[in-house]
Amino acid sequence: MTYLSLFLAFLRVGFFSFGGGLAALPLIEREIVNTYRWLSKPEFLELLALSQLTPGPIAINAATFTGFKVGGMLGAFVATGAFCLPSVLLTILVVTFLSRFRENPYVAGFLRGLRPALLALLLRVALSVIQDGIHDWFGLLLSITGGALLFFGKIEEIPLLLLGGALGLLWYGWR
Amino acid sequence: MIPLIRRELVEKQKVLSEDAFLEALSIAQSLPGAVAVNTASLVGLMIGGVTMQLLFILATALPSFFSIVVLAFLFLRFRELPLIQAFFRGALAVVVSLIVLAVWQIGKKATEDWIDLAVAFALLVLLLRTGIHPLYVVLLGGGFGVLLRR
Repeated sequence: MTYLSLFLAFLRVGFFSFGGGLAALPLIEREIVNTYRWLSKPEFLELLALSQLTPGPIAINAATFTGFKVGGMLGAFVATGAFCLPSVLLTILVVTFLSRFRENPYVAGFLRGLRPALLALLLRVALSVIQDGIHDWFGLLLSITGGALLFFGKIEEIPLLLLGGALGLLWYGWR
Repeated sequence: MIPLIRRELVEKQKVLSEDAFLEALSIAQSLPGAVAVNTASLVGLMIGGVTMQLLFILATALPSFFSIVVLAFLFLRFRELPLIQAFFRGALAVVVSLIVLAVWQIGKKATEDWIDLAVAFALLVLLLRTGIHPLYVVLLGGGFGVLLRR
């Protein structure tokens, strides 16, 4: 049953995650935290941090991680495969039948209409990480300083994450 | 990932033209799923049919797959340790800055006019207030597009 649920959950994520990994996060969170409770909210956030440290697509990371936690290697395989399955099917469809599918006005309208949906999902992601990822003034300080350093191109993402972790270790581990 | 695929297939192996690669990339971005997986899948199909497609997808997904399995194994075993928790609290604070900045950069490009902004705002309120499944936000946005933007 667990394997079937993993399969269906990540199949849904695979079919509806338009516009890149970040916009897929509400979809992923809904399935693995709210519907099936495979991960707690803090675990989900920690998964986000782990995903930022590894190069692969975030949705694949989430599928593999969750599958592994719930069903071991087989679970990881099922969840990751289920996420990739829509890509396999849709790309075959496009290459064999619909190479000009985007010129269809309905498809073009649908894709155009996804833009505001994408923005809504992204804002929801930003609001929820602000709410859940910052617990105290030290976190707020780290976050603002880190954001400013990134914005002005003074630091790369992975060094910043490791630096944030190290400062967290010093500050929170001390007490 | 994408620049790597391009360099390997277009520049080194010369099995794909630059135009075909760009076409694949732009289709990959309009399909659901991870862009890297879609791109690998499309160029695989273009070069050598379904067998090549499946091989390309495996080759794209396996490195992340194994690194995440190893990380998950370690993480699930040690996550309760106070020092690991302290590390993640600090890392998470900067994850917030990474994500907010990325949202700002992508979001800026996502909207073109006030209709986009109004629809986005309505969908956001719906998402926050009613707890609908996010896939309906995708369907509603797409549906509006079919009605208004053809």
